[in-house]
Amino acid sequence: MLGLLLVAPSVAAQEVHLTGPLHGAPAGRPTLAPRDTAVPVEYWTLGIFDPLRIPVGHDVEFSTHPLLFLALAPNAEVKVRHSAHRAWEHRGEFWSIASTWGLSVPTVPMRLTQGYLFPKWDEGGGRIGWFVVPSVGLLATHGDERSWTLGLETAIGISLGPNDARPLDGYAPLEILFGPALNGTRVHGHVTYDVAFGKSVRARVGLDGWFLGRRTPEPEKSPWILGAHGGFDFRLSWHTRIVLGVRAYDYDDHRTEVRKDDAGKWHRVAVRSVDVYPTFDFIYEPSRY
Amino acid sequence: MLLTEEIEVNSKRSAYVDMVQHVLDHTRLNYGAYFQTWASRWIPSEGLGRMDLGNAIFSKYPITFAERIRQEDRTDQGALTSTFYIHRAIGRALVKVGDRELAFHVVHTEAYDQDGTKQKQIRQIHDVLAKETRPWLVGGDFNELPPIALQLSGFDDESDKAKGTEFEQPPYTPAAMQPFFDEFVPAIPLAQYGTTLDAQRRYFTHTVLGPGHVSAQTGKPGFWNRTLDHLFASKGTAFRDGDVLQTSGRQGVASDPLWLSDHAPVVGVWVLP
Repeated sequence: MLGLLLVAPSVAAQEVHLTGPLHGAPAGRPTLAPRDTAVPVEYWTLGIFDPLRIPVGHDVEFSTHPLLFLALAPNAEVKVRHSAHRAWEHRGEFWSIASTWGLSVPTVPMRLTQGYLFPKWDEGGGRIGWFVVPSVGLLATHGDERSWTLGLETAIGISLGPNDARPLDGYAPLEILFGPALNGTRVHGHVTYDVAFGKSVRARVGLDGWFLGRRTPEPEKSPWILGAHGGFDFRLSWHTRIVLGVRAYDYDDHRTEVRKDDAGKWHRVAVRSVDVYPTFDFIYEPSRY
Repeated sequence: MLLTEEIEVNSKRSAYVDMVQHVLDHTRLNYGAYFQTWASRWIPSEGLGRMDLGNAIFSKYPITFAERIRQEDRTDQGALTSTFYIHRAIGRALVKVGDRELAFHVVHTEAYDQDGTKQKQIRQIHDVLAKETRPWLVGGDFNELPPIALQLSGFDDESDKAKGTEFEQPPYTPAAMQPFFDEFVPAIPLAQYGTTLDAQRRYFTHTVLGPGHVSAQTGKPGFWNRTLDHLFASKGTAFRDGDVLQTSGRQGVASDPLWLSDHAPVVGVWVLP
C-alpha cells in the first residue's frame, strides 16, 4: 500500500521519454551502464542470477528470474518509468522515477525442498500451502555515470488455503526469499551508489534494510535484516560483463552467547549474526551496443 | 542431583527454550552444568534448523568444576551427514557436598550406528569411571540392554519403515554392559532386574511409540519396552530405593512419564559411607 501511495503522484507528472543514457556517452565505445536502476533497459539482458530483462517500449521493462522458473516458481516483474521531469532535474541530470509490479508463486520450490528446508510431515500430515506473492515498489535514480538509486518495495504473501510451513529461521538470503510466504510481509528499502571508472568498469556500494512480518505466533526475534553490498562490474566484451562483489547481512537468527554478568552469573543472551557472501554474476547483453 | 540427556537450550524444534535455565529457575536445583553434544547453526534436514542440545547435571550443591570429555564419533556416515551430526560426550562435574567432593557423570551413547561406535563409547565411559579417584556416580542413556535382558529384538515400537534407513535399530550387545554390573554399583542390580520378562518389564525405560500410538505388532498403545538407561556408582557406596518411574504416582511423580519423554527416569538414593 505504501508503494501504491508513493507511485500515484509520479503517474500524473508530465513525462519526458529518455531512450539513452542520461549523459550522452562519448563517441566510440560507450560507458558500461549501471544496473538495477529506475531506468528500463533498452535491450534485453540475461544473467546467471540477474533476471532476464526485456524492454517493452521506451518506459517499460519486463523481468523474470529464469533460475526460479527452472525451480517451478513462476515470477515476473514489470517496471514502469513514470517520469524524468524537469522538476526532478538537478545539476543537469534527471531523477527517473519508476514503479515496479511483481507477482510470484513460491509454493513448488518450497515443496521440492521438503525433507531439507521444510519437513515432509511423514507423521502428522502437514502441508505447504499455496501462496501468491504480489509486490509493488518505487525506484528513483539520479545520474548515469555516477548514479544514486533509492528503492522501496513491499511484497505480501497471500495464502490460498491451509499451510503448516513456518519461518525457516535460517540464513538471511533464504529468509528474504521466502519471507512474504512464511512471514506474511516483506518490506525492502535500499540505496545504491554506482560509479563508472573509465568505460569498462563500474563500482557500486549499497545499503539494504528488510522488514519481515509475523504470520503466526513465533518465538520472538528481530524482524529487521540489515544488509550492505559492494562490487565491480567488468566489461568482458561489448556484449558481456562479469560482476564480482560481496554482500553482508546483519540479522537475528536466534543466535545466543553465554556471558557473565557483573555479579558473576552466567546468562545466555541473544546476539545478531553477521554473514558475508561473495557475489558473482555473468551477464549477457547481446544488443546493447 | 538430576542428570539429563537430550536437553536443549536454543533449538528451533523446542521453540528456542533454554531448558537448562528453566530447570534452574523452577526447581530447587541451584547449580547446573551443560555439556553440548549437538550444535548446528542450521540443519537442512526436515526443517530442523538451529540445534543446541546436550547433557546436563543439576545439583542442589555447588558445582566446583565441570568438563566435557569427548567421545568417539561415528565413522559410518557421509561427510555431509557427519557435518551436522551429534558429537557425543561424557559430562563430568565435581560437586562439593559438605567437606567432600563427588564426581558426577552424565552420558548418552550412539543409538543407530552400524560401525561399533556405541560399544567403543561404552568402553570409554567404563575406562573414565575406572580411573575416577573420587566417589562417583554415572547416569544416562547407554542405548544398551542389561546383560541378562531376555528380549533383544522384536520390540513393539519397531517399524518396517525404519528398515534400510538411518533409524534402523542395530542389534543390541548387552555383554558390553557386563563390566558395569561386575565392577560398579548399579541402582537396579541384576538380581532386582529379574530373570523373567514380566519381572524385567518392571524396569523398562524406553519406547519410541508413546501412549498416543498403537503398536502395529500388538495393537496396544505404546508402553516402556526395553531398558536402556542406567545408574551406577563407585564401589564402596550404595543405592537405596532404585526404581524406574514408569507411571504417575510412583515415588510421588505427578505426571505420566510416558507423555513427558521417550525415556523413563531412573531414580535412586545414593548412600555414601
